[in-house]
Amino acid sequence: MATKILRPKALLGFSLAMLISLTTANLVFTLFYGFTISLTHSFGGLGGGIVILQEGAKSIHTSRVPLSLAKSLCRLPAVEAHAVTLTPLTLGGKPIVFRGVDTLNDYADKIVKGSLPTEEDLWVLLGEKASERLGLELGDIAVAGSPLSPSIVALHVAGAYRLGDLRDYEAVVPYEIGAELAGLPGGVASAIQVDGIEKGELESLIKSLYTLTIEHDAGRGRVVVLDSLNTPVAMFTMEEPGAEALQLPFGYYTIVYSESYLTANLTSILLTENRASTLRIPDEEVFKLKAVAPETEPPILQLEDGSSIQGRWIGNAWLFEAPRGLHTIMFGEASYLIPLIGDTTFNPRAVEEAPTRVEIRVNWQDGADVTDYLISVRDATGALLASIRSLSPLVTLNLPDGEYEAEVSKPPYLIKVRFRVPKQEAVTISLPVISNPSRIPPRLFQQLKAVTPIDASAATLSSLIGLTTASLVALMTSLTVLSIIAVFTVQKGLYSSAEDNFRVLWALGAGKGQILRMVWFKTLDLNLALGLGATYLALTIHEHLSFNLAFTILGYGLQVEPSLILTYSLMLSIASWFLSAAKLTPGMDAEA
Amino acid sequence: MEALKNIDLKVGKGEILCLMGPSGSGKTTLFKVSAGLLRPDSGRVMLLGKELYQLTFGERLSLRRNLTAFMFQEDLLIDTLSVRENVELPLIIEGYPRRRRVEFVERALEAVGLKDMKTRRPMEVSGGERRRISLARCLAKRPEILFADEPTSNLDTKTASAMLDLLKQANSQGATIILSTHDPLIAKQVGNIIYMRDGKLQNLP
Repeated sequence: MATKILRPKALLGFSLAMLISLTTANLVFTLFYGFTISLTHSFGGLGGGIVILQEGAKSIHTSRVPLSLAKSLCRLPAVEAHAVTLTPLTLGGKPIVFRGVDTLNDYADKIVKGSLPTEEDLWVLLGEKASERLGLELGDIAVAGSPLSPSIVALHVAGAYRLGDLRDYEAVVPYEIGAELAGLPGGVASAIQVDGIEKGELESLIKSLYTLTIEHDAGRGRVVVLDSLNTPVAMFTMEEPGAEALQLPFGYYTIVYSESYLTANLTSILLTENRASTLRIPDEEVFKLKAVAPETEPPILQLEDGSSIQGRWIGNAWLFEAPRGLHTIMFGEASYLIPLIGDTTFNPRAVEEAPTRVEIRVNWQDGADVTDYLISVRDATGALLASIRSLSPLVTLNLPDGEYEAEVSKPPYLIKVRFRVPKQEAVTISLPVISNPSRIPPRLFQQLKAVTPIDASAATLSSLIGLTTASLVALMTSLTVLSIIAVFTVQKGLYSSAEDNFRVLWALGAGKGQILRMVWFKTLDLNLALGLGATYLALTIHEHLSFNLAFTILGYGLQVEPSLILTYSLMLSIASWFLSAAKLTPGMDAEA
Repeated sequence: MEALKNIDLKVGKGEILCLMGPSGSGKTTLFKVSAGLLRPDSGRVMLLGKELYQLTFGERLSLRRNLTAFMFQEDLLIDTLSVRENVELPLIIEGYPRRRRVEFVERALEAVGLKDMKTRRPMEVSGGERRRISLARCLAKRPEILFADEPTSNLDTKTASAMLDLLKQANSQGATIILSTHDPLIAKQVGNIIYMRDGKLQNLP
């Protein structure tokens, strides 16, 4: 009876129109949810309380921040900072965002296939969704590349992870590979994630310039200030005792004294305010040099100025007393450069008689060979085992098993690297290179901003689709409202078309309650069925018509659970049905 | 504009009364006011001993549903229901059980001579048959008072007479019948006539 009162044709039309409008509303909802909620809240999946980006950078992907800042921030108590690179590239020919990370902590217990890579290698970890989308399996080799970068890298799929956010659509690579693929200059990252500090405090810290006053009593040599990546950021020559005031941004700095090949770390300082540092570089101090050699083979020490001095036998070694400088010690026909900047024990025999051959290669960060430098190797006790001025980038030493520290001095650089024998038989030491002076610290510091991950995501989203978050929300809200209005209009239209019949019922003595029981309640089942049908249709469109991919940006997809669409669809269907009751009994009380 | 003026009319239980007047004279308005379908601006309507417009909406609806029937000038049939379903509708509204509904509908359709047409739709029958369906719908519920607004309009003489016979038959079974017409011949057959013009009751011309 209800079907006939509502007119069968009108019901059929209503069902079709309702199915279309509800499906449309569901799709708009997924768009709204996918873009406005998921994307603006976790686009790029930046963790951390605060994100440091380049001021004026349109997106995270085009941002450039100094890598040294991350290292310096870690020196602050309770602060953790990680540099990341985020680069839209292709993997196996399909677009995807590559994330270069310096720690895999976030992924450690989220691996669903394969295992967490432990070695420095050409590996890539894929998010579960990315793995499905790209069709790549564990162990596959895929080529990563970008039209913007000349780099093409073949990576092997080491595993897949599931974090439950948009990072599941990304590919994770070691930081160095991420930087290489992104074409980032040395010492530069896309963004830095920071935990353990307030945004305002961080912003104030990184935006300010501080005065570092260095007082010294030396009449010669140079002072070089290195940042946390050992990149020189300031330098001055000492001609007479005095003070120099340097303007530097926040950072962890090492102050190095340099004279000819003699380089010495004088002090390190975390610059968070205006600071003064007094350097004492006494010219006339005398240091002790203990040379391990047989009593029968006395070595000779030739000083920097060309004069020679004899050693004194002290029972197990020869002892020399000499001023600071880069001297030469001669054992028979063999000679070694000795940078004397403190009391030193020198034992060349340990090197000559050792079983393991170790190759130490010195190059610039961009891969170019470094020539003409001084390299010293000390054992775990600090004793000097070898000291060589090398014109070749490759130095070969025989070393006994143990831990060592190699120090490369090429003024103004002073780089130290620890290694273990026999585990590491090849050691590479890279000196920082300034490939793009306009983009490295400290100038880069003046272009930094600290933002929340949401703001960073919003800016990125805006740059990708050309709409600000506000306009996107307005657009999506409008579409949502329109789709909801459409559902309510269709629902209301069903009863409008049968309005005459309701008047007949009333004229025959039916009250509101009776009309609702006779007609309205009978359409609840239909509305529930339509809500379910619209959910099925929306999901089918998503799955079979590649709706997801049609709205994919740089490989990111949409994250709407089917249960959420079902809830929304049924809620809309029932709400519109419930409110339509008013239309069912128009003017019944008016007695017109 | 006043549709009805100074109306003072009393119809006794079991009477049959014919209200006669030209179109626009206020017959339909008077019927609707009398049946509880249209509240008057002023005045009183007593129906079966109750002052109609002093009752609540629900009480009035209940009285209208259970004791009266109204044969509308426009038929007010639902085209998507069959003839049988249209006749059954007021019985469903009144809450009769299915078995009794079937019985009453059969009897009403038989009375109006449409028993063979019960599966048809109102659109598939003639104008006279539609009027008869409308009357059957009224008769099925066996009302105490039946308001028949122009029951013979647009009907040929023979059909009109048959319709009038049906009304008289209902009257003879105890129902109070108030009908309206602008046809003097029909009015003459009823006998008990009140004339109406410009919203007023008038004496015989």
